[in-house]
Amino acid sequence: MGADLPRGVRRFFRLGGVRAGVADELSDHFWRVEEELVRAGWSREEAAREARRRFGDVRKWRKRMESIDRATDRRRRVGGMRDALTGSVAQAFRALWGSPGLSTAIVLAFALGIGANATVYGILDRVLFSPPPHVTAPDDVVRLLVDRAFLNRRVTSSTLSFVDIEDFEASDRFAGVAAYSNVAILTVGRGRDADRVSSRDVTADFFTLLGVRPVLGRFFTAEEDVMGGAGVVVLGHGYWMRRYSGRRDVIGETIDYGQGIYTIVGVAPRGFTGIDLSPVDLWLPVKVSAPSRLGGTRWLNTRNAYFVNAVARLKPGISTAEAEADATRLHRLGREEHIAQGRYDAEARVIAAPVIAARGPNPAAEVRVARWLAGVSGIVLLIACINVANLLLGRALRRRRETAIRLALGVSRRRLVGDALMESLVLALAGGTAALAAARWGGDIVRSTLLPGVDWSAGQAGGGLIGFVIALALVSGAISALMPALQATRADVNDALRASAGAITRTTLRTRGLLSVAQAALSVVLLVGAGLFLRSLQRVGSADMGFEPDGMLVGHIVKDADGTFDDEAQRAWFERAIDQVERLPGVLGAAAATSTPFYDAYAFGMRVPGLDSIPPSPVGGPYGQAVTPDYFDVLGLAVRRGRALATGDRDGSPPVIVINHALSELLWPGEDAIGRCIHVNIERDAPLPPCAEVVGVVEVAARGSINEEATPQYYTAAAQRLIPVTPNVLFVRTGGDANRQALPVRDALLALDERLRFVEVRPLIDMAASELRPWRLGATLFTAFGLIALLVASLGLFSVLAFDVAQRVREIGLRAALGATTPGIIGLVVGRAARITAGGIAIGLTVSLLLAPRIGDLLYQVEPRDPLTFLGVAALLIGVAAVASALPAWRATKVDPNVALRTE
Amino acid sequence: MGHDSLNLIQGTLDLLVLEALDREPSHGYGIARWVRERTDGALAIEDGALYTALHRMEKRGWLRSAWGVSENNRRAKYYSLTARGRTRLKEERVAWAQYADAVFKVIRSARG
Repeated sequence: MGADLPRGVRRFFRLGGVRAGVADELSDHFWRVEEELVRAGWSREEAAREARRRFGDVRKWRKRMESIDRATDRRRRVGGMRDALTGSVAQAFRALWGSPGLSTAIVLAFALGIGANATVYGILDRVLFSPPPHVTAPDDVVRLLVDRAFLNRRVTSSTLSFVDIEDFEASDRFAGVAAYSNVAILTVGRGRDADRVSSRDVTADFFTLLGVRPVLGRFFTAEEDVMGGAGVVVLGHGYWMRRYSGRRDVIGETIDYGQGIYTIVGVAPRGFTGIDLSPVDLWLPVKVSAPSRLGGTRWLNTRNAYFVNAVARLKPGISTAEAEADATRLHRLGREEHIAQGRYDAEARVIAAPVIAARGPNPAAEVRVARWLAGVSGIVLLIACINVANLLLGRALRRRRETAIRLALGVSRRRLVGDALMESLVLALAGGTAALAAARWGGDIVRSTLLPGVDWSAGQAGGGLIGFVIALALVSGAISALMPALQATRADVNDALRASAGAITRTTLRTRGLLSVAQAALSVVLLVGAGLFLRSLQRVGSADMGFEPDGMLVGHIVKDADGTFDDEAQRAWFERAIDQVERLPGVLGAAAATSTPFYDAYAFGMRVPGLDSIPPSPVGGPYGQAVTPDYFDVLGLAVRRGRALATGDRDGSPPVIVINHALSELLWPGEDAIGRCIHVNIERDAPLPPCAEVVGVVEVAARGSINEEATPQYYTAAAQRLIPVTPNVLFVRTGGDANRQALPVRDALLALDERLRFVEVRPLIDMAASELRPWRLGATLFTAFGLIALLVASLGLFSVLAFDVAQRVREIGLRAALGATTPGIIGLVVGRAARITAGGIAIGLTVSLLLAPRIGDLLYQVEPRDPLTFLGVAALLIGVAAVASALPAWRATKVDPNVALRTE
Repeated sequence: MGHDSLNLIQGTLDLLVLEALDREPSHGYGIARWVRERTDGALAIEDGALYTALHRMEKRGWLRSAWGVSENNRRAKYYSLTARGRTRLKEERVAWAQYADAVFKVIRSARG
C-alpha cells in the first residue's frame, strides 16, 4: 500500500499522500479495534463487521478527512512560502541598509537605465504600436498610397488628387473611402489677437468611416460638404478647451479666418487626430474649405493637384491584396488619358497600408526617431545592468568569507542565490520607482522637444507604464544579480575560508574587468553616434546656403479672401513695410521678394535667343522671382560678376535681369553671361515679351533644402513687373538674435494696415526647421544618452580600480617594501585602467565602424566613419579613464608597507 | 437533529479529545477508547466522527500529528497538543463549566 512507497514519491504526488495517509490511519484503527474484539472472544469476521459498524459510514468519513487534510496541506504550503519570502525580503533590506553607498549607486544606475526606457515607452506606444485613438476596428482601416515611376525614380506618394480618390469609391471592396488634406495653418482673429491654428480639410464620410463620435454636437454631413456650401466646422478637443474653455454652448457660434464664415457644429473627442499624429484644431469640409483656401474649384476637378490623402475601410472578409488589386485597376482606369499621353506611369500601383503609419511604407520622421529612441535607451539599460552586476560582483568578493561560512553551516546555494536575487530585485524596484518619477517629469520634456508635432493629449498609458516599469525592473534586477550570485556561491568553501583577504578569486576579477570593458565599449558606440550627429549639426550650421541665415527674419502676410487687400495694396504695403522696419533699432536692412527659401518657388516660361530650348536641370527650374533692390545686400547674396539690381531699375527703364551662377552655366556654360538677353514670362499665343538684359551673376542660394544641388534661379526688379507675381515676403536683417527681434518687427508690421489679418514673422532658419530636426534630434538624443552611459561606465571603472587597490594593499605594501618606486605603483593601477579602456575603445570603435554606415543617410556632409569623431571619442574615453583612475592610484601610493604587511 | 445540538456535540467532542491528549499523545484508537471508558459509553460517538474531529482540529492548529510505527509494523498516526491546543482546552473547560452551570440552574429552579 501507500505505506510502502518511499516518502519522496509520496510527497511528489501530494494528493496521493493525503489519501494514503487517511487510508493508513484507518487501517491501523480497524486493526486495533479488531484485535481488541478478538481478544474479547469475537470471531475475526464479526470483529471486522463490528469495527466498521462503530466507525459509521466509512466512505463519508474518509472523504471528509481527506478534504480537511488537503486544505491543511494547502495552508501549510502557502504559509511556508510566505515565511520564506518575508524572511528573504527582510534579509535583503538588512543587507542593503548595511551598505548605503553601494545601494544608492545601484538604485541610481537602475533609475537611469529604467528611467530612460520608461520615458520613451509612452512615445513608442503612441508612435509605433497604438492605432490612432477613437478609431473603431482600426485593423480594417487602410491608407491608400500610390507607388509609381516619377522623373526616373519610384515614389510612394500619399498625396493624391481629389478625383483619384473619387475613383476608389467605385470599388466594391471598400465599405467606405474618405479624403483628408495635409495640415494647413489658418489665422483666426486679427492682429495681435490672432490665433494660428492647424486645420485639415476632410470629406464628410471621414468621421463615419473611422467610427469616431463627437463629444459635443455632430460632425458635418455629405449635404454640407458641397462646393459653395455654407461653412461648418468641427473643433478639435484641444482647441475647444484652449480657446473656448470647453464651453458647451459653442455650437452655433461662428469662426472667421478670412475665408468665409464657418459655423461650429461639433467638437471632436479628446486626442482625436484622424489617422495621423499631429494635432488638429479645426476640421473643415473639403469641398467648402479647399476652394476658398487654395483659390477656385479647379483643385477639386483636376488630376494635377495633389493635395489630399485617401483612407478607406475594407469590407468584412476582404483581404488587403484584393483591395489593392481593385484599387489599382480603378486608379489606372481613371488615369487612362494621362497614361495614353505618356504623362503617367502605366504601372502605377495602389498600396493599402496599415493605419498605423509606422507599419506602412514611407514612415514619418517621428517613426524613425522613435526607433532610435528605443534602441538607444535599450543600450543605456544594458549598460546600467552591467554596471550593477559589476558592483554586486565587487560586493560578493568582499562578502565571500561570509558566504563561505554560510555555505559551510549548511545554508543551501539555492537560498544564497535567492537572497542575492531578492536584494537586487528590491534595488531594481526602488530604481523603477525613481524611474517612474523621472519619466513623468522627463517624458514631457522629451515629448515636447523631440517630437513637438505629435498630439499627446490622448493620454499616457498610465497602467501600462507602471506595468512596463515593474516588468523592466524585475528583468533587469534578475539579470544583474544572477551572474554575481552564481559566481559567489560557486566558490569552493574550503578555499574561501582558508584564503586571506589578500587572495582574490581570479575568475571573478577577470569577469569584473570584462564587464567594465563591455560598458566602455557600449559607451563608445553611443558617443560615436553623438559625435557624428554633432558634426552634422555643425556642418549644417556652417553650410553654404549662398546667403547668411543667422539674424535673418522672414515676414509673411495673411490676407482675407474677400479681395479688399488687392495686389496694388500689397505692393504699397511692402514699400511702407521696408521703410518702417528699417527704422527699428537692431534692424540693419529689409527687402521684399516673391518666394521664400525652403518654402515656395515659381517657374515661368523662358526663351533665350540662340537656344532652341532651355536645357532641363535635374533639380528643376529655372525659378524666378521679383525682388526689391536691397534684396542681395540684405540676404548677403554675393554678386560674382556685373551688378545687383538697383533703384534705377524701375517701370519704364530698360528691362534687366540678374541670374545665378547655376543658370549662367546652364544657358552659357563657360561663357560670360553679362549683356546677354533673356525673355521671361513666355506664354503661348501671346507676343514675345521684351528682352531683359543680364546685368549681374550672383552666387547660388539654397532654394528647396539645405542639402541640394545648385538650382538655376533668376531675379527681376519688382518695380519692372517682368513676371506676374507680387512681393509676398519680407526679409529683415537684424544685428543680433533673430528670435528676440521677431516680436517688435511683427508689431510694427501689424500696425501698418488694418486690412491685413496677420503678419507672421519668424527666423528664416525656422523655415528649414523640419529639415534640421533629424540632426538636432540625433545630436540631442545620442549626446544625452551617451553622456549618461559615459558617466555610468566611468563610475564602474572607478569602482573596479578602487576595489583593486583595497584588495591588493598587502601586495602593494610588499612591493613598496621591496623598493618599488611611486611611478611603478601608479603603473600597477593605471595599467589595469589602461587595459580596460583600450579593450573598450577597440571593441566599441569596431562595432561603431560596422554600425555607423546605417545612419549614413541621416548625416550631413559627414562620413559615417569620420576619423575625427572616432579619434575624439577615443580621446574622451581615455581622459575619463584617467580621471577615474587618479584617486585609486593616489591611494595606492599612500599605502604604508608597515601597516599593510601587518594586517592579518 | 437540529443545528444547535450538533454544535453541542461537536463542542463536547472537541473538549473530550483535547482532554484525552492533555494526558499523553495518542493515536485515534487510543483517544476513542479513553473517551468511551471515561464516559462509560454514555456518549454514542461514531469513530468516524472522532477521526474527522481530529483532522479538523489539526487543520486549526490545535493538534499536530506525527507518523510512528505500530506494534505490527504498520504506520500509525500519533496526535499531540500544540500550544494553541492547550490554550483552547483551557477556554473550552471554562466555557463548558459556565454552560453546565447555567443548565443546572434551570433544572434546579424548574424542580424547586
